[in-house]
Amino acid sequence: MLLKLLYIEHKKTKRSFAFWLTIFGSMVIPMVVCLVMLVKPAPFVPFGNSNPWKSLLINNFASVSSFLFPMYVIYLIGLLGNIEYKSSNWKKLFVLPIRKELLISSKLFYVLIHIFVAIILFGINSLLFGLIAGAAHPELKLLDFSPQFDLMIWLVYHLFLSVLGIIGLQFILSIFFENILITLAIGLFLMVGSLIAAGLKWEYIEFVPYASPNRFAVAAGTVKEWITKPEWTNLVVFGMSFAFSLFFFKRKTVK
Amino acid sequence: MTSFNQFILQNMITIKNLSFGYNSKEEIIHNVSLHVQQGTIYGFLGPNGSGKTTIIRLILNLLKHKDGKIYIDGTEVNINSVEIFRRIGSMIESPSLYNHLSGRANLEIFALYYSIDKKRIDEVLEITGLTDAAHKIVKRYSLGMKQRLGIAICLLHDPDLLILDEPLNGLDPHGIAEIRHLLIKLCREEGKTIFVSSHLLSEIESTCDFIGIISKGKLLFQGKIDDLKNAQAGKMIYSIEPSNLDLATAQLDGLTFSTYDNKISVEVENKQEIAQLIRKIVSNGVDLYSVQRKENNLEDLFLELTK
Repeated sequence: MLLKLLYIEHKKTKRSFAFWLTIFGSMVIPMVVCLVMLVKPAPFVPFGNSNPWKSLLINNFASVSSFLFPMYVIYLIGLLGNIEYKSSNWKKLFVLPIRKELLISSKLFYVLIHIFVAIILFGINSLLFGLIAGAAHPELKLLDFSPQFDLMIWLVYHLFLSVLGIIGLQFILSIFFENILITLAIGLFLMVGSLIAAGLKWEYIEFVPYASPNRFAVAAGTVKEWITKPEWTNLVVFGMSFAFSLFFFKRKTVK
Repeated sequence: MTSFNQFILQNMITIKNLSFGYNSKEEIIHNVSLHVQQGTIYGFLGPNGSGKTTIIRLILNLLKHKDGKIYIDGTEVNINSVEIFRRIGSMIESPSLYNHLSGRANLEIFALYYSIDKKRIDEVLEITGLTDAAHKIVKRYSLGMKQRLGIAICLLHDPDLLILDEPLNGLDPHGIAEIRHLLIKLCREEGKTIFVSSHLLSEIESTCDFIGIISKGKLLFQGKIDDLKNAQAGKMIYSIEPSNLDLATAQLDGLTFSTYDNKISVEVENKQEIAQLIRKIVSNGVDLYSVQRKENNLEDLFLELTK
């Protein structure tokens, strides 16, 4: 049943703005980095015999994770939630012979899958555009080494964990508020506030989900643990958000 | 089995002493009881803001009620709603559609929700006359096409009961006729029970077997249209167009009347009474440009009941 509901969510998203945002959004930074490498390759030429893929992947992931990627997550969740609000579709979904808990769970899991796929696409695009730059400028040595897939998977995994808390909290907001601008405004406010707090080296920053992607950016490539402290916070926040979503959604009425 | 149990089993919808308010201080639905027989079209009539949509939302469990009971085919709505929803197709106010997708894709989504074979999609497209527009993006549909697609979604799982809230809203006369024929066809040929709300009285008059009239959250009448007309049959209503409205209305002591567009609508018991009234008005120096007996149609009865 859950798989069928996930497929339905995918069908709803097809051809929507959220769908194209994910496809093209995952290309933008890798393409920009590629253009910079094509125009001015010198700063990217690796020292000695070091693998250039490592620095390329870490730079790409770190450059988006502090602000751009969390904002994409906030915007995407707003858009996905808005698909039902736009034509007041909740009133139709609530009279389906399907339990509300299943409906809301499928929506949340679809958001998770969508965002995970977006990060993988970003990783793949980073490699593909790296190959283009490497083919144009042999001195970048990108074709002399094989792409570091293991590092890419490691970065995908940690970037995903770093936004889990934001996903949970923004998901609740997207159910609560019909107006997408409100969810975006709250998300942006929390993001900026968290970045300022991180900049001021606030001692409890590890417990702030909106600062977690920034923590990932700072430590990208050096993380050895399977789950870091901020990621633990995210797992807890996500779990609580899921439980709250179930509780709230079951009682939701359509006025 | 008690007589009440037998009663609720005979009806597709039974509402008993339903009251509701968004907060404890303000009650907007007052002790409503109604029943809808199987295989009939029930017109739920009332001016805007009378509580029609609220009652429909309560029937569909979209709003939770505390006072009263609602049964669909003998099962109480609050208790086993998920199973009941398999038997209901509903459209509240405007159809719920994914505008960025085609009509067919919308139907596919709901076919998946109901685990229905895709063949049924072609059938409902045919029934609602949307086969040729199936691959068009819904954003480009006319209002009438959207309404028909909304009804097609309601019909997908072949429900026994259709609950349609203002399905004629915003339609042109051609669109209204189309939906009206469709509803009659669904009821007569496929045996569906249809509960349709509207404020377009002429549509209710020509389409429904039974009507319920609601105003300010109270059910004022329930029964056959002829019963309503008969209840008012003893009275005659005339429209009078005088040269001087104030002078003419001054002669109407003791009669029930209203004024509109420089005319008077007056209720009398018999023909002699209107003849006397005409003489009285004319003898007071008022010219009469027209005197016309008004048909005792549903429009008048409705306005009379809900004013």
